[in-house]
Amino acid sequence: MSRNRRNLRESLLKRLIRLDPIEGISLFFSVLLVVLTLLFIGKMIIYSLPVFEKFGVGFIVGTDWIPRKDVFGALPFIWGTFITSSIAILFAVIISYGAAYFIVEIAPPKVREFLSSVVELIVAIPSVIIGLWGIFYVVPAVRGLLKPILSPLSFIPIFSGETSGYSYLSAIIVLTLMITPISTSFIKNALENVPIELKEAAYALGATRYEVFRVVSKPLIRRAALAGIILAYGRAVGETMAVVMVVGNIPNISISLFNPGYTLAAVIANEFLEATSVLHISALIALGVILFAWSLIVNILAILVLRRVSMR
Amino acid sequence: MRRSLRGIIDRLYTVFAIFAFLVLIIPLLHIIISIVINGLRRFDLELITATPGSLLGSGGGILHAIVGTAMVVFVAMLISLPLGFFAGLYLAEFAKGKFAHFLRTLISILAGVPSIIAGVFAYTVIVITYGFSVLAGGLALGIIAIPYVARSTEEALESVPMEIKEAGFSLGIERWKIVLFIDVGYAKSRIIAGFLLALARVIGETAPLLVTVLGGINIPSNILSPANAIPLVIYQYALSPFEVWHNIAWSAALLLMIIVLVLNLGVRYYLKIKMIY
Repeated sequence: MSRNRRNLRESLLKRLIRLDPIEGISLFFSVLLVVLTLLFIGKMIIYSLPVFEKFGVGFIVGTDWIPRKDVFGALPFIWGTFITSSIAILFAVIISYGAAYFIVEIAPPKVREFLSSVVELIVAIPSVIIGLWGIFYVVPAVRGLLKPILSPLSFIPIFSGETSGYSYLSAIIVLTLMITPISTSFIKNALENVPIELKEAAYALGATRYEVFRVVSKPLIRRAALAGIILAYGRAVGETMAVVMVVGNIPNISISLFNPGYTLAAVIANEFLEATSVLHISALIALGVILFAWSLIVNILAILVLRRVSMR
Repeated sequence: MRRSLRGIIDRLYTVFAIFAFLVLIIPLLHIIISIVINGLRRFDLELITATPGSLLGSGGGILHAIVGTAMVVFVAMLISLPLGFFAGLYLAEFAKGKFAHFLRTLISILAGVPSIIAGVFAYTVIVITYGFSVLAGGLALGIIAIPYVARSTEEALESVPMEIKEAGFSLGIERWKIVLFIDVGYAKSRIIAGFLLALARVIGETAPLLVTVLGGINIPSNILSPANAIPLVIYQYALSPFEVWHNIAWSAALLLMIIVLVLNLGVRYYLKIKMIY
């Protein structure tokens, strides 16, 4: 027993002496990175505790947010984040299958690379610029164009009411625009990797281009597409600037897409500068914890799906 | 009859695909064209050499924000380069077992953290104690840059051919010299490209700065003073009711777009040159 332990100690000592300097340095920074990340998360959780202590679960399901009376409920923001990101990802899925099909199957091979890098260019545009464009073009279009067009449908709850243009719908439009390139590029890459033999076999049986896509390609790329869609959804949940500039910033729980609302990320961005009471700061940080947990779950899902993609 | 129905469905899907692609691409073109047209109105020397001026005149420039962005991004690079580079190096060269798996997962998770959350991190760590400052903004952007730097470093090092490493080992060169001079030396241009892409990624970040650097019209004097930044000015001026400021917001957006595009395209071009040999 003691002999074993001495051997262990000797081998540890040997390893320490023989530890390569560059391995030591890189290990040091890696451990530092892990420690710092855990520290940040820990601090955030600690600062969020006061508001959870005061309101308990009521903080998450509370519908009133009145900072000057120290009343805090997160539901309007959770609802706003949920409705904008869900509808945006729905649009993104529909558009990105079509756009990827166009780039891979229809467009001439010569321009394929060019088209996909143009699509990916959207991801590189800073979101504040999309928001600026949203204020001056999307918001007026929702007020002056979409509302009149959809007014015959205003008996349907989601299209009811008047609008200033600053609304869930404006946020959904800018979000769709920002996240669709992400899912499109995943689907496009997967489509390009479908084995040509399988496609040729289907063509030889007389299938049309669309039938090859539906029967051969689509099932094969399902997982890769799913990973891209989950990542795009995560982006929509956390997107701040483009949303805060067009969503209206009123803590509402409303079913009509023409009404103004608020999201988790938007209220954090807006209210930190003016927050002075301890409880208000704590409530904002707690919203951060909710948003962090939300995107963490989405991310872990994406990582798990991606891992199974690469294993295949 | 059946055959023609299938043909029609195929056509219809083609029409749908073209439509979907246009839905994606037309807004993009509209964004770029509107930034150029609106941005050119105040795209002059005053924009980059003056601090904010009277609303009755031209409204001045955004020099304070340019200096602020430079300082914040510099701090962000100071934080993210060593952490990201060495984490990437560790993953590519040494990592094995549970810790490596954990580190890789952590970096993936960091990459997916919404940027506003990085701002909240920096708020709790720096702002609550030292106040709104360049340092807080730099930390927030640094956290965002780390996973990009780490991943690009790891990918660059993994592209080093095994034969080159083996040649080094066969000469009896020590491990750290091989890593530092052969691997890093070989992958140098791709590692630098990764740094530049991370820079392009954080330079346009607004949300984390909103909760960390405060804004204002002063040129920051040191890293503990409040600052403004180019994207932040775009946001503040866009929300203002004054047309003079709207014009400056568009011009600042054009300036920011040019910086981001030059970095992105420059890196691609630079890599293409370097990859030939």
